[in-house]
Amino acid sequence: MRLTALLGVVAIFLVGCSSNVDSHKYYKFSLSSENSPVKTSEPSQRVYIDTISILGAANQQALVQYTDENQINIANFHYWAEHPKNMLMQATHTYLVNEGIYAIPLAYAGDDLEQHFTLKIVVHEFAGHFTKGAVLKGNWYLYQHHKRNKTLHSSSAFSLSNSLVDDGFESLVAAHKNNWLLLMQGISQQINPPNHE
Amino acid sequence: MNEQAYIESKPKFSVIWIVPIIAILITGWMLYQHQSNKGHVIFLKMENADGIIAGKTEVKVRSVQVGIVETLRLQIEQNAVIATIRINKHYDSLLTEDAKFWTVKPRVDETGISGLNTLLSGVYIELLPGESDRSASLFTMQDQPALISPDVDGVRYSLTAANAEVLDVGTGIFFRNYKIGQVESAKFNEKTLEMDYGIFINSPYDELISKNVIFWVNSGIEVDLSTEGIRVSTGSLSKLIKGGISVDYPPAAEADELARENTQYKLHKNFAVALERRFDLFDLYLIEFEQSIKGLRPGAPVEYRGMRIGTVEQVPAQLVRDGQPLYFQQDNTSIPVLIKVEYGRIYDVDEQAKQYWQGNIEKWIKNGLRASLKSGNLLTGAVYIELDFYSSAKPESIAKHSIYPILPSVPSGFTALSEQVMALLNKLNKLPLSDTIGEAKDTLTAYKQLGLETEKLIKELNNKKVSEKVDKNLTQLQGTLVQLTASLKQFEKTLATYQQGSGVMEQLTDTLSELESLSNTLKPVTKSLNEQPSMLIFDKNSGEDPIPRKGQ
Repeated sequence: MRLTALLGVVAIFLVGCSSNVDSHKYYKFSLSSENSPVKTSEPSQRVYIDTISILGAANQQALVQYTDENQINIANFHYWAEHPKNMLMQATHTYLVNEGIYAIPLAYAGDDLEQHFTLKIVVHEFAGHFTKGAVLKGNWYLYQHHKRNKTLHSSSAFSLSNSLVDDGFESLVAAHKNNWLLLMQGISQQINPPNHE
Repeated sequence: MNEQAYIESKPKFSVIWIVPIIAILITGWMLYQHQSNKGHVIFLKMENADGIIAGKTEVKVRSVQVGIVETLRLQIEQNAVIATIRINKHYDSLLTEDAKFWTVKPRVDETGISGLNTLLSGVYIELLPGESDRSASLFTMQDQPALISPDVDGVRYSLTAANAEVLDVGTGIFFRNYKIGQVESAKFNEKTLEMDYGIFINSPYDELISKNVIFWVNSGIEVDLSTEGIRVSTGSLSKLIKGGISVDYPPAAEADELARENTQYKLHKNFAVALERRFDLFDLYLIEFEQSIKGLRPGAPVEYRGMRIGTVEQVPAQLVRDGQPLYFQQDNTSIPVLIKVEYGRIYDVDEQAKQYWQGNIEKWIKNGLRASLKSGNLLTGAVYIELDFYSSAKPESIAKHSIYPILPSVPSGFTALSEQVMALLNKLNKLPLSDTIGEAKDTLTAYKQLGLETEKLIKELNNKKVSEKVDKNLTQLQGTLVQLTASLKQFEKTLATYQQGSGVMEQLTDTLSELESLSNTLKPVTKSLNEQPSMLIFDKNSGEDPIPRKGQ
């Protein structure tokens, strides 16, 4: 009896050890400053980045894909390295700083927000798509602070998609990155309108 | 030539036969040894052989194996299972006729969890040897483990309960919340219609059981509803689940002589009932109420100005006069109620209380002592009888024309209220209302005039310099305001600790962020576990994720 129990425990141990731990893959993209060095000019506008909210199925670490018009797959083995809202927050911050915008996460802003902007992005869709590649939909809101009140300065809905260059999750991540880059370009233009002079 | 042959007679028994004989002897000796070493065979009758396996299930005493189940077979009537058990040779002496057998398997009850080791090893049969000198070979399996081992010292008593709730075997017996014993047997006596309990009090606590102890059922939760509010107290978990029996001396009484073994006691429904039975000296009185007695029940208290002096016995009193119940009498519209005045409640020395009561009751009734119904509980509508002095009561004396003396009563509750309301309405009717209204009108006019004059006076005062007294008061008020401001500043400082950006808030925010991060990390694990609960042991066998494809 004891031998049987011992064998059972050993068998369970071996089965546990034999599991394929390498099957999980983790991804992350960042809008690094390699190709666009930080501009040294005096920052013209200060922007506080509020939370980036992700609504719906994409609000999790697993990668999400539309496999059909009405069907979603939540990946079992392919994950973002961190929660996508944290990743997008970092990407936004990096991009705006690279664009010469004085961007600070709102949590570190302090009390004096006078005359400055707060950026809030709400993402509705952040998923792979069986025909469109990667889709990114949502709204962004830019508020201006004045005497402890904030007023909506501008806002816009966005709906972006980017086809994959190749098959595979790496391409999907790259397409997501391109989508976010496009979104950031639109927002930074709104904050710092191009000087046509 | 003739030669004569010499015939030599051969021995009848050949020496060669010694070999098989020795072989047979050795075989016989081996068989005997084998049989004698096999041990004693006993038969164990059980309702079912749940978990017992022939050739595997062991019989143990204090975790030492003393035998094994050899075979299992159904009884001819098919209503029981007979197990053949072989007890090892050296343990024959354990098979006394009062030995007990039960199956050890995982059990969860109020005493805790036991027998968990049998989850892996399988069930086994525990043998508890008895004390008898006679041995037996047929036994019956018990449903429950034996509660009390023969080597435990203690004394057995018996309890009878007429209307208390039915308690299980194993229920604890508590002396001032300390467990001193347990119920060993519980049987309903179909002749006396009472529950008979056999209880075992562990030594040395049997020295607490004197002749005058009282036993009552303790439900585990005590709810005390008094003018101070509701007080709920609970005992130990086992007491809460299974209830218990409490034993103690009567209040303000010392331990009497020690009770003998098997002394029989009454088991009362609760502590109050246990005490009630002790007021043996009482007198019965009749009270005739000229009102509804709804809500009055036998057992309701009879009080004198809040002090309990007796108990309601019969509602209505089932007394017969001239062959008819009292309330069938003609021209009698009252409802008779029989009460007991229990002298032990009035004073500990009940004889003295009886003398005092009987010597004064006539005088008290002449002075206005009357019985009335009072509401005891607004929720349940229960009422009780209260005795008190009513100075306005018509003079009466104690009536003795009935079987029991009759205490006079006065109406109360709605009856009394309606009488009072009627009296008030009569008085109102007689009031000169029109004159009064005229006078009130004049008074109001005078008040109006007074108001105008007061306003004028205040205006004049405002124009004058305030007096010194008012000035002093203002100074005091200023001081109070300074103190109030200081307190408010302190309060503001305290609040600032919890404002955004403060240390406390930052710590709280950080903790919440960490929690959120942890929750996010756990989400995939939760999802996978939900889809495949065995994932913790075996490999995750979820389907492959679809590979994202280039745009079509």
